[in-house]
Amino acid sequence: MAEAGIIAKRDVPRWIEAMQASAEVIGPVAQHGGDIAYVPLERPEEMAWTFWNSLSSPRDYLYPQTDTLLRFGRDGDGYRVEETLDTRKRVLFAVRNCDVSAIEFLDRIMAAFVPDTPYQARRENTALVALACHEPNQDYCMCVCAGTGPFLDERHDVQLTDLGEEVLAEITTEKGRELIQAGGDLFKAPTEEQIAQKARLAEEALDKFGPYPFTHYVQGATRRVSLDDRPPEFWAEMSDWCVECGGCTLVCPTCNCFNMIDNVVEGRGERVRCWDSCQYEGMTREASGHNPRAAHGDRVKRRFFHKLSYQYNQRDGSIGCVCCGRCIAVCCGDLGIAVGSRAIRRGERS
Amino acid sequence: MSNTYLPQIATIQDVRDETPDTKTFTCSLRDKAAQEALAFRPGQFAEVSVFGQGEAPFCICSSPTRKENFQFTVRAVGGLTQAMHALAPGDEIGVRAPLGNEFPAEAVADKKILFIGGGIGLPPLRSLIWYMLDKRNQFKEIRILYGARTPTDLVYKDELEVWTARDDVDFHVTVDRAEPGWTGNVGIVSTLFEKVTIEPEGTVAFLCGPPVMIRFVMQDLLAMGFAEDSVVTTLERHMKCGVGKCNHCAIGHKYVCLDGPVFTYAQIKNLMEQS
Repeated sequence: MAEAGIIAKRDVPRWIEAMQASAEVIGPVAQHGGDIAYVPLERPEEMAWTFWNSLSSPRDYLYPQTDTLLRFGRDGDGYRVEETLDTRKRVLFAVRNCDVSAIEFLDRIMAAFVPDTPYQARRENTALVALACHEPNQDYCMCVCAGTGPFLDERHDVQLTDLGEEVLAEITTEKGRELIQAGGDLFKAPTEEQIAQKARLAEEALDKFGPYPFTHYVQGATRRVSLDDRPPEFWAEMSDWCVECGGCTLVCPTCNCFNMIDNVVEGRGERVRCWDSCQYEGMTREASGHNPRAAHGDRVKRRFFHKLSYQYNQRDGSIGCVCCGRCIAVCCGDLGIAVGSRAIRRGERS
Repeated sequence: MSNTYLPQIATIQDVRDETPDTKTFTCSLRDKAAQEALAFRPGQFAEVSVFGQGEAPFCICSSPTRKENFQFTVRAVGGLTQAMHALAPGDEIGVRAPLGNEFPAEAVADKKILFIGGGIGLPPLRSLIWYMLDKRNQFKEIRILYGARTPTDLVYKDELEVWTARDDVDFHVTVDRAEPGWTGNVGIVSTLFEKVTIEPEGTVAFLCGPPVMIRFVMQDLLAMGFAEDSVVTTLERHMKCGVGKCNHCAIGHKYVCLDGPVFTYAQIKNLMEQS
């Protein structure tokens, strides 16, 4: 589907309002202090157009940090269990292509073998409107390493390109076509010059990356983690660069480790899924006290093995890193994906 | 679309003490039709809900040849298992089952079968033991070696007597430390290897026990000449979801809950991390 429409940037809030008639529209808004967050667009004109990315990824709307999976309680003599599925219609609007790719990755993980219905119920009712990047962040962005941006021809339902006064909206799927149709007369046919302008921006964006994609090439570490040819002492040394906050895994848009706990209030209970992290010592600890992955170095190795190994690449259909750079931005130590993968590649800190 | 994480309700029919800290729970699904339709295989496990405490994985330790109910043998070690020990017949739990892969049964019918269990490692094997004994004429030689720390720690004491009495099972038991009245073997489970003649050629070994026991017994069996794919074990991890999503049980790129819990030594040795 190579169809596209043009909409004046000042008209985009009207388009968002039109979509809001049938869906919740989530988009990027600058919060107090300037950080971007994906929030319901209560005032569409507040939507941000120029930004790196949010620290919390928009996948939170498909796979929330805490999520009630079911409710239980006594009903007469026995227990009664009710499922809870979130089937609200949503549009994730102006999502960066690294995050679109992360959602595509999660789609595969959640569908594999035994489908994860809480995720799929949300996903089926969610449309993805990408906002292509033509000003990648010099400090964090590495999507060219993973083929997850800055512009993509697929994975989203619509891709927006900011042309200045106007916005080009390329339709990728049938779901996307319906979103453009909701905008009605706000959309015109693009001119050849506008199509060419988008192509130019996409090409020029490739020259605007900082040094990370070239000096810290993430997939270069794949061979080393796959062959397991770095000794335990190496991982132990790397663990010194990490303060075990788990931030890297909590902001990572592809991470999907979780725990499940029961909350009971006044006899009514709910089972809640909450994010977990392979970087936490408690994640693999068993009730007996036995912990197969207690050593910090083993946990650091775990993270990079899961993200980059050939074995997981084969199992999951791609590496588990979309190179969004969030783990670089939040790391309280010095073990973002870039520094970590470079060290693995070289066998030493550099 | 039915929620992947929705448990079925099961009623506890019987609770029996196995050891001072271990009980066996006999359960059946509250929905009779669902109980009749419940199709599991030896080696599979269940995510058991103790409502208010959460969920934990337990192997189904009964044989699918006995369709009227299913059993879990549970040692009280943490919050959930202690709460489970407080349950009585008539109480309800939640069950998501069956999960995971299975022991090869029919596939090893032409082999001699050697079971090696340590302590609370016997329950996963028990499902397959009774499966084979209930279909006794389909299988050849069956030998069971079982060890526990003390005679008190032996589970299924009445069944051990049955296996001892049956002449179509070669059963041997040992304890690490004797107690007054114990007249049997004393020593770790591998000391039983000296009491029997094991022919690695044509034998499949199924073992389960504490991690350290599994590791040493595997090495013993390989040293005897067992083929790497003739040594079968079942691994335990803190499996939260049971469906390959939560990553708690990942070893290398395998999920114990999905690719296992049953693995051969040939499979385990290729895992990237210690199993």
